Amino acid sequence: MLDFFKRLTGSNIQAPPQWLDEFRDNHKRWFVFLDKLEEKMDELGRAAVPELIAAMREDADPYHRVHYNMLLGVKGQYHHIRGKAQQVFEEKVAGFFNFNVGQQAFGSEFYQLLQDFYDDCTGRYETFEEKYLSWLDLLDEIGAQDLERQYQAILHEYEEIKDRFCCKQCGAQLSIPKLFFINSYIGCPYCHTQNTFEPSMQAKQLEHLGRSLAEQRTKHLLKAYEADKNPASYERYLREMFDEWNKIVPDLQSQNERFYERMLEDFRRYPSL
Amino acid sequence: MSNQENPLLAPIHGISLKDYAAIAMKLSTGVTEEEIFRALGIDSVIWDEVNTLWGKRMQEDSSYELVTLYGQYFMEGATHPKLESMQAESTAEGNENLEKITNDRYFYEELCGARQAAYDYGIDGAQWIQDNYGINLGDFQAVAMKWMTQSDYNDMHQFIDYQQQKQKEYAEKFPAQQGGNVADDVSF
Repeated sequence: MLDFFKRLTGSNIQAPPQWLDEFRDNHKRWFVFLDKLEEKMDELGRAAVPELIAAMREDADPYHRVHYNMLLGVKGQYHHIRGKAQQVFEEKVAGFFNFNVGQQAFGSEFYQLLQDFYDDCTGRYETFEEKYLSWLDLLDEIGAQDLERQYQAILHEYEEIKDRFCCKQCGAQLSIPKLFFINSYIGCPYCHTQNTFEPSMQAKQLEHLGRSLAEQRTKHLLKAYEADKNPASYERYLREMFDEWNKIVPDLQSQNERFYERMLEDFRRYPSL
Repeated sequence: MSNQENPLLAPIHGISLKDYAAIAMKLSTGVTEEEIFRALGIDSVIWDEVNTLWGKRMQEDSSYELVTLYGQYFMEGATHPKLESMQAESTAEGNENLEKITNDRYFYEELCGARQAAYDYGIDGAQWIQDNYGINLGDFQAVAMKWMTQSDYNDMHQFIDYQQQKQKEYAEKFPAQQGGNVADDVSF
């Protein structure tokens, strides 16, 4: 913490302004306040993360609604904590600074004191924000980690059942030719009955998780673009993300390629968005 | 724009975008798939493909025409000629509240604010509205579309402010009902 109080030397000091006590008080309390809020974020995270992981693993609902609602609640608490910090910053740091700095001569000692106070408190606030964002990233990671596991489970399930489908009419054993994620017709070559094959709830999630999993697998390329802002980096990310998506859901490749063309065109037209 | 001008509007297995939006609207109100399939002469295989492909067409449509039309047709879904007679079960109170949000913009905005505050607190907002006001998600969304298309730019700010004010009020009510927030004991 910058100890700018020591800069108030006896011989050069102007008459101390009325806000000086409040200034010292606000500075000290702001740091303590953020320390306490960060402790709360850590406590919340330590308690919530294992429960969220368990909820994700144990929730049989393919849409993971129990996990989703729990995640919303936890994130809501983080937003509430951040909201408290924001409110106090606006009143006791920015508000205090803006109210008093206008009354000081530009470049004067007290003007600089206020500026240092603002910079110091803002710096501490940025550290708090980073912690808040890192907790939110971790919470999102919990859901993301599960995508690969879900996908492998879908593939494994298909291997288990692909030769176990029987014709509803004559009972002949039929082979499921590929991994279906929607209800599909499977014709019986023996009695020519048109059977309806309904995939499991798990398999039906393939299309929903396809893009998210593809984005997860290529996240490092998106981060590279966010770091260098080179349009070629984004176009590389987009192409590879869609390539991954097409591997995961090959049946929608022609539709996804048209979607890729649209996204590429949008990016080239509005690269800053 | 006609199908000839925008080929993405061509029906899929005979199901137009208007049909698709109406089906989605009716399903979200609780009407069963079986009733809808019977009315339209389709089965689950056809529906699954239609449901997948209309979504993909909206993704590839850079003009946003499909998404815009879908929203409009969803709102009009209650009056689709083949589906309008289909109603999910509802209560008298639910019907009364539905009429209220359809005609009273401030009540609608209050429920929007409450719903968001519920989600922020980890409560399923749509379910909260169903449980407390008897309005299902499909009907609520249809009313949302109606208000969206009727919004005047000059009025928009007052409704946004009102909704946010209500969201703040409910953001205090929900924790108060359930034990508070984790950082309530931390003050400046």
